[in-house]
Amino acid sequence: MVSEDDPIALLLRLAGPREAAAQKRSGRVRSEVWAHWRTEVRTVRRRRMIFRATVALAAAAAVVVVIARGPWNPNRTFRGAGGPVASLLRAEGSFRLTGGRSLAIGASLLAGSELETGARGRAALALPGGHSVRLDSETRVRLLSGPALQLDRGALYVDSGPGRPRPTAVEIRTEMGLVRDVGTQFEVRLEGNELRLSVREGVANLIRAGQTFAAPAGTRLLVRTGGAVETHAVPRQGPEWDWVLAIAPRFDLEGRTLAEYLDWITRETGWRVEYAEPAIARDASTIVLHGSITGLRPDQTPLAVLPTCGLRHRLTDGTLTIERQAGAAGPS
Amino acid sequence: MSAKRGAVPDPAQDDRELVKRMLAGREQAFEEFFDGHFSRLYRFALARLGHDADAAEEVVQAALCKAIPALRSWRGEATLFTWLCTFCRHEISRHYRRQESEPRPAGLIEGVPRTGPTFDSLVAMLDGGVVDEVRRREIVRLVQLTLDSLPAKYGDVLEWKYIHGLSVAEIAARLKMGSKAVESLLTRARQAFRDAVAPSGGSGAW
Repeated sequence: MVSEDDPIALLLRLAGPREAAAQKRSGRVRSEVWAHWRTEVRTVRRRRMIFRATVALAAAAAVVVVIARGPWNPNRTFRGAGGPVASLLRAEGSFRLTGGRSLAIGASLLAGSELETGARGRAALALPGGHSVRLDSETRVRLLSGPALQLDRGALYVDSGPGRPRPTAVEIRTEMGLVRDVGTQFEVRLEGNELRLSVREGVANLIRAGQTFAAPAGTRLLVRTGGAVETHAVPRQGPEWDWVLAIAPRFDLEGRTLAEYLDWITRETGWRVEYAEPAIARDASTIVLHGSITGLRPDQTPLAVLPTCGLRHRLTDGTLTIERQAGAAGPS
Repeated sequence: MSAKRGAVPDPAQDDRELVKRMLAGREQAFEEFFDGHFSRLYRFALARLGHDADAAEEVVQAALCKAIPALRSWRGEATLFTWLCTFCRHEISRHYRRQESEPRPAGLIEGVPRTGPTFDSLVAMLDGGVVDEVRRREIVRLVQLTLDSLPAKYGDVLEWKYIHGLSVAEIAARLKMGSKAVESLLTRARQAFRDAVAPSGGSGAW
């Protein structure tokens, strides 16, 4: 309740809300600035690598002549038909630009780039606006501006991130329909004459033949050529989503709080978190973690992380219960 | 791997941490940076460009693209927002030079501090609740400029609480903080608002 005598409340109410830029303007600027920032981060990393390499060479008192063997530099921004629309976060196995060229982690990708994964390949991309997109094996996709992707075959997983709605929705275009993100986590799989939209969190819309079908969390929409849209249930965790965990972008644990780590792991795995004691929940936002979990799948990390806080976990029916280790006095 | 308790950071510390994470290439940091500064910079530019929305968009984009490579040089003497405003001012001047037109009044472009009313005199402008249109516009302008001059979180909580009417619990849910922490944040935000209006007898944020 706001007091009528409160001068700050009166002034603010009289002033009203501050003017906001139109979402389209904000989205355009965000994309441009994000691409600029990614390029800057990559440039600085490359300079550091060159500096370290130079120091190492000097120490060894060696002279090495490097002869460029071709025009391709995997760190550069790949020039497609338009502006930068994505950045490569992670790749495993066979992953390349259509045409056979490989890419370095951190490379910016422009609109028009075509990406392809092989039988054992997978990749994770970052899109401006905080969207994360993962490619499963045997997938071919074309990056469009928007942000949007044209899926020719295989599967994509989209995570538009937790929290507030993003200014721009991701669109996945396929020959059998268009899928639009509404602030969510979902998979689009196109195999043979079948399109599957499986929603793990939030809502995604399938637009087909002028009709919109909303798919809430735990739903799979199935479309076959010439057929009607069928609705099925899909689990929000388990083997269905294993490939998504296997190519999850790296989580920088260093300096993060336990609460941030648990937010990340629940988002990645679909687990729910419960605390055995309210005190652990209270402390989670002030416990700062150090170290690295690089190389571990998200669902493998609790065993490595929680004992450092004097905690342990139980996983039962998708619920991760956090409790104190026997004999531990607590995280504080 | 290890863990320790952390303290609740202050706004200046938040800015330093944000820049550190931006430089490390963390996507979440970019989102926080953009969400925390774009709207304020846009309004900053809009007010100085005769409310030309296209020009404001162009200026803010250019300012942010130039600020990013210079982030390493930000030492934290000024807030990150104030530092970004210097890039914005430069781009506004460039915009007017390109247009070969007369810039806006120098005080507004260059950010020379102007003498503004004290908090009490601003409240007195309310005149018992009856405010004519001229006064209302002036209050709106001054209050909104003041909100934008505060750390983003302060401006946001004041707006949510007193303009949108959100409860402490609703703000706590939005910020993923406890109710006590939000109450404390509101107290600090209110004090910062008062101080920003006129910290030393009339020469304030305006």
